[in-house]
Amino acid sequence: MKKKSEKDYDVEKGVFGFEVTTTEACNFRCKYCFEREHVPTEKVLTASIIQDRVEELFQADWFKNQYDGIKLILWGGEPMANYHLCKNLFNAFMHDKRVCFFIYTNGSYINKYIDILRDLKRKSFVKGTPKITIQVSYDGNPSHDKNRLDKEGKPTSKQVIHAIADLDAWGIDYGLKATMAWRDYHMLPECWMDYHELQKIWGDKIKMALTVDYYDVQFAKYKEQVTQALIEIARNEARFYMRHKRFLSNIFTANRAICATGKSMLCINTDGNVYNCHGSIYSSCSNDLKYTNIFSENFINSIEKANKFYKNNHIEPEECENCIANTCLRCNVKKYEESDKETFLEKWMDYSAQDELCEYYQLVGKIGAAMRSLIRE
Amino acid sequence: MNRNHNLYNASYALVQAASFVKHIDPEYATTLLDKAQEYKDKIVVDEEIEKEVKGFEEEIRKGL
Repeated sequence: MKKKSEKDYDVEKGVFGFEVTTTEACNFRCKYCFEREHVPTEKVLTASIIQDRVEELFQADWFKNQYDGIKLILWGGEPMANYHLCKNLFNAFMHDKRVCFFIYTNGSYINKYIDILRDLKRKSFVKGTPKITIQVSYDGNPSHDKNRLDKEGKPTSKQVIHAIADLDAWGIDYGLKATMAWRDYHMLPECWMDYHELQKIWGDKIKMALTVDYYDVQFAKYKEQVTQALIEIARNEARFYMRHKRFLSNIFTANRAICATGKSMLCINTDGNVYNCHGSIYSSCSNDLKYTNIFSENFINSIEKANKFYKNNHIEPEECENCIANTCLRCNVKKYEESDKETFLEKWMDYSAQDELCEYYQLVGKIGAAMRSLIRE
Repeated sequence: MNRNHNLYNASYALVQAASFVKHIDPEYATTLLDKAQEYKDKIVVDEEIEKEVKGFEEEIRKGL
């Protein structure tokens, strides 16, 4: 029998997302930021309490049966703005093979972390995946410089591109995330071309992961410009697919996002309150969605209870079953806010609660089906 | 259970499987997603939607 080596791991077990809001402050003033005017609160989180809780999770039997790794996700505000906490967390788990990192960032502080990121890059994670992954927000121009501004109102794309170049040069695993409101969809083809230029420089690491701003929904008003933009993107993607056998963006790929929220993750805000995901922190229903505090004696039990509840209860609405949409952003928090249904679970899984989003994703589904049919010809 | 339902469930299961597989075998995850797409494309939608898809096909073809 093959002896279990250090590299082996249990493929049946998963990675638990432990998300920490390191700060609610941000040096950017992006026009569509869903944190809006949220006022930063006093910082109470320390690397030490997080380290203790992570260890307690690893010791809990229910956790050991399901997970063999933890992804420590740093969220903000701009998470890297809290240098002290980030650095202490990196050092605390630097040699712990059971823990990896994922950072959401606007990219502006990357160069302050060069040494520690290089050190982290060389360390291993139990699943064989990178020890650290960084997601940089980049919308593509001209949209980025219209919407992602610094505190003085100046455009930020140059510093973001520098950050991407640094990450690429240092060999750090990274991905890019674009956000776009329907009012800006007339710029989407140009933004796609901008990504295409980046792809020529940095290769297949460049993928355009687009999220529509699903908080300000006025789809009816912008439907025509959205349709025209998507048709143009479909042409671009078809040409790109012929050359690369993949799409540059995620716009027409098959992925009905099944959010891990609650099931395999938790999110802690700067007060130590624990939610099922970061969307819950800023929700108008945040009080309904908070279920413990990192300082609570019942922390581990509450996580177990939430994990069981969200894993064992899944309702797939009938209207989704025959829907043409391939990609569908299913933010449970937003559905919960919008739903007219009665029970917690019905509201949480009410994926058709945002009519305009359904209409948008169906449109994307139809144009995507048309494009794939042309590719198959 | 109707055919659409089965195709949808199969597609949904493959997308979920791909989300786990991608951590250890990204290439196979892509295969799973392609298969999921294939099932999804077999779902019979109503005639009106099919007509719309055909219309989009023509529009995309014009600029290709």
